[in-house]
Amino acid sequence: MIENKFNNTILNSNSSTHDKISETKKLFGLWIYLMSDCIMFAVLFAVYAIVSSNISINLISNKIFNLSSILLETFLLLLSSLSCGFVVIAMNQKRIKMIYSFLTITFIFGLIFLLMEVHEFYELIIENFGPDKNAFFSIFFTLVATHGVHIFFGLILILSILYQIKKLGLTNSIRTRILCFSVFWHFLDIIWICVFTFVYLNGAI
Amino acid sequence: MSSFLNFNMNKEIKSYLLGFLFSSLLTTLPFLLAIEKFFCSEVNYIIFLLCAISQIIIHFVYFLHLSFDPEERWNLITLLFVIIIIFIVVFGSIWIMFNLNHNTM
Amino acid sequence: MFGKLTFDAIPYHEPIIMITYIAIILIALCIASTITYYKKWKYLWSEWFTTVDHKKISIMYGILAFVMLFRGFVDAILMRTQQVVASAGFKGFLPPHHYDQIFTAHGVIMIFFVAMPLVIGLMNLVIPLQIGARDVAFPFLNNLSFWLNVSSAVLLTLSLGIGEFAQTGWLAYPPLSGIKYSSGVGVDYWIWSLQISGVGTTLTGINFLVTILKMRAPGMSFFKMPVFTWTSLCTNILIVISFPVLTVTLVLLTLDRYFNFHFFTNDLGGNAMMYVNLIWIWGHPEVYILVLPVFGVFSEVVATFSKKRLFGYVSLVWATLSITILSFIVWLHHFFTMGAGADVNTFFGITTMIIAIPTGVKIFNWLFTIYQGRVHMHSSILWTLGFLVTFSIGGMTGVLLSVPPADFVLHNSLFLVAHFHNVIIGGVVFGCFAGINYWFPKLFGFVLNEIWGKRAFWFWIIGFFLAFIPLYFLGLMGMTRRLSQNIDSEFHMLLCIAAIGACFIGIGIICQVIQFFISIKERRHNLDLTGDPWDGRTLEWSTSSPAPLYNFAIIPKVEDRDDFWRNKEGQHYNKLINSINYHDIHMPKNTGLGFMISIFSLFFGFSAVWHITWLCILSFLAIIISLFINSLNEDTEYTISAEEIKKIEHQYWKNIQKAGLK
Repeated sequence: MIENKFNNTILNSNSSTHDKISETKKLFGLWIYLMSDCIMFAVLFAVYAIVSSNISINLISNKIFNLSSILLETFLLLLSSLSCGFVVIAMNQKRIKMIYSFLTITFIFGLIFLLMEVHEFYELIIENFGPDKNAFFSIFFTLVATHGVHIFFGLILILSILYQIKKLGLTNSIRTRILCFSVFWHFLDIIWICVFTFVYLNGAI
Repeated sequence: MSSFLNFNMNKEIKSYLLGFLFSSLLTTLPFLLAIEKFFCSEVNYIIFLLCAISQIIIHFVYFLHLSFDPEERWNLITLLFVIIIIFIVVFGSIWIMFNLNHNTM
Repeated sequence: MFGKLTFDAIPYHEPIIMITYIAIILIALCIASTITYYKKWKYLWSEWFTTVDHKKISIMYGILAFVMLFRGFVDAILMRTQQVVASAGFKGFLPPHHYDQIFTAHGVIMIFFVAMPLVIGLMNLVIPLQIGARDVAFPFLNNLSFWLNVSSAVLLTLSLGIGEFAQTGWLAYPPLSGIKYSSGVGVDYWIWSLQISGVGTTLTGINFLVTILKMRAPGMSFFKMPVFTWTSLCTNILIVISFPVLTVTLVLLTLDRYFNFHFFTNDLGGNAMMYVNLIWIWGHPEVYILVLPVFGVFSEVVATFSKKRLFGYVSLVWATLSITILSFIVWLHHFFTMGAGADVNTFFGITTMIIAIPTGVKIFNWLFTIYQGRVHMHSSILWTLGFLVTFSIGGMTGVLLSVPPADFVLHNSLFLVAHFHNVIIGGVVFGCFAGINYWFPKLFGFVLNEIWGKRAFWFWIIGFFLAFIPLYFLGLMGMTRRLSQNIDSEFHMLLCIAAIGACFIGIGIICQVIQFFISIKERRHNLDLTGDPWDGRTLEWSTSSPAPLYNFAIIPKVEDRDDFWRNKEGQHYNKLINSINYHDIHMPKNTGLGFMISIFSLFFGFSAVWHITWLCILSFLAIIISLFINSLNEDTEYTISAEEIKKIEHQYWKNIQKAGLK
């Protein structure tokens, strides 16, 4: 994964190899979890494909899919991925202030994304397009909201990492956590690519 | 020593910036096509698909540093395996669910 | 304030349930007071509940499995009795809504709380020892997975006395399980029990995958791993890939029931068949998750007790891998009759037939291993031989069912019931018993009583044939599954034989209980001093019995398959014990966090069932907060000093010399 290239220069003491092995295991474990998450999203996409091919065209219109706000949401997520990358670079350089700043930037972008998504759901519900109205809306809300829930937990993770660095400094386990978080966050951006392509773009044409 | 570090840093920063640049392009293009509707919907669909697949690969390579290195190899193998399973599950389900109406058609 | 929960939830007017529940509470109180009397709570907490040691966790899984086996088996006896009575013209003692809960609970308990814990417990014990590791990759997650399984079993047990359980069958198909047709709390209990258990199992899958892929001893490449480790690897791949499908499907059903979504409803675009499709995408790999580790157990047992190298190691590995892949393209054979056209049915029928081939390869490999070996008739080999006969029959009826036209006649008849019990009991259960008899000394330091073990085997296998072969005939005669009332009297005779078979199995279980008691009583006469009671071939037998906390003082260097056997044959163990340099070993500390999170999950599940919103949110927050507080704790390891290790290892060498070996 985002291997800490600095480790090549650290002397091979028993405890540092022990930590390096532990970090490798944790990152790989997270990767396997993300693979299982992929399957989860795949099932949701499959249900979406099945349901959306079964309903009449009248339901899908530009009223539901507001492409310009989705474009903005996409760029917010992309920017947050970029700032997440800078968090890792800052961590490798052990510049704690930089870590704080970029983590906060990531958090803000993610938060705005989430708020925009909640607003979109609200608009749909008041227009009688809620998830209890039709199977299509059920799967739409479920698919997009599952991604949103993952983003939400990512934001909680950011807050807890910020707190942990403040309280304990940049320990080895916290460095591993930051790496794990960044893999998780990039993965969420990848899922979002699938969401906006197969749901929004396909729905709008 | 410090030049070695600088070299590494630049490589990582380059990786993220390039990834961001490519992803932005691969995002703007399909959205533009969808909003302006330059082509018919089948062609649009294919372009969206290609852009999405390329952007996913860009994300994996530039942001997640997936490669054939021995350290990353297991990640790549598990990913490929899961992609195969996803294909089976998604297309299998679509085929089956469509076919379940067979006796009513 | 308490959602839908009222005092009416307790089924006062159903005497059978009330008596059962009071009995359960009394037994629990007895056990609790015994522990209090002997002042063992602190010991239990610090040595067992909070342990992260994979060996102790495997014992706890085994205990969970045996306790739930009692409940599941009682359900079976109830069902058999009711069917005997109902086919003789009487009404019986179980009204349909009760009987329906019994067969649902029987299925859920046997699969999720007996078979899965047994299999996961065996993998837990054996994998680290066989690959030369000190523990699994994430010891805390191991502990958490176990307790999540326990809290989900507790949730299911609560449903007996507070509310009701699902009446839908163990897979709860909608629309019957939707809110319109099952407006009670039964299906909700089912959903949350499976969800919590599913999370635990998924974590186990991730844990073992990382362990096998990243923690093998140096020199142990893939084709030098023991077969049990190979089958465990494939099992855990299946777990990680298939359980997310179950999670999502249950979530979709939950949304339908709680928030009026329309995934599986009859109107507004819902499609109940989508549930059937999705649940079997999980369900079919699930049965391979149960059976693959057991194939691994048999591979180890036949090789050890025939004193021969396993025949066809490479073909066994490839067979296992192909079963893993193929198990993902057969799932439709569970619903051939539900509307698909001939092309879809044919495709899946053919793939189902194909998946029988690698299993056949394995059976021949085991037979050829036994052939011309010096077979020692230990009870583990008896279970294996029983498996070879029983599972072959069950497998063949499976191939019979894989032919769609035949399945149109036999789907959901007792023929199907006989088939899957045939493969699960003949395969999974016999295998787990073989594994328990085989690896028991490694866990406890003494061997199990052979006489009662053999008696248990004979009662089980005769009981199995009496109980389930009649069901094949009943299915062909037209009897449907899940019947409890007005059963045709033509079926009565065979149902009686089946009930007698169930009694034989019951006696078999009693024999096993006696076996445990006698073995524990006579343990000092049956000590395993060398750590290698069966003259084994793989690495786990190179440790003492019971294995030390850290498994291996020095991580072994592996050069070949069956490396331990190679070392023994070449007498490489004649080292000077004084020349070994021991190092300090870092071990993870015990933690109560897994137990706490599972308690909160129990509250979460219970309050979700009864729609007690505030408690639901609170318990969820409690889980998040406890995880957060734990993340601030950097003090997670302790050290075993080199001198301590030296002492333990020297004791082991002394025991070996006492036993007469060098």
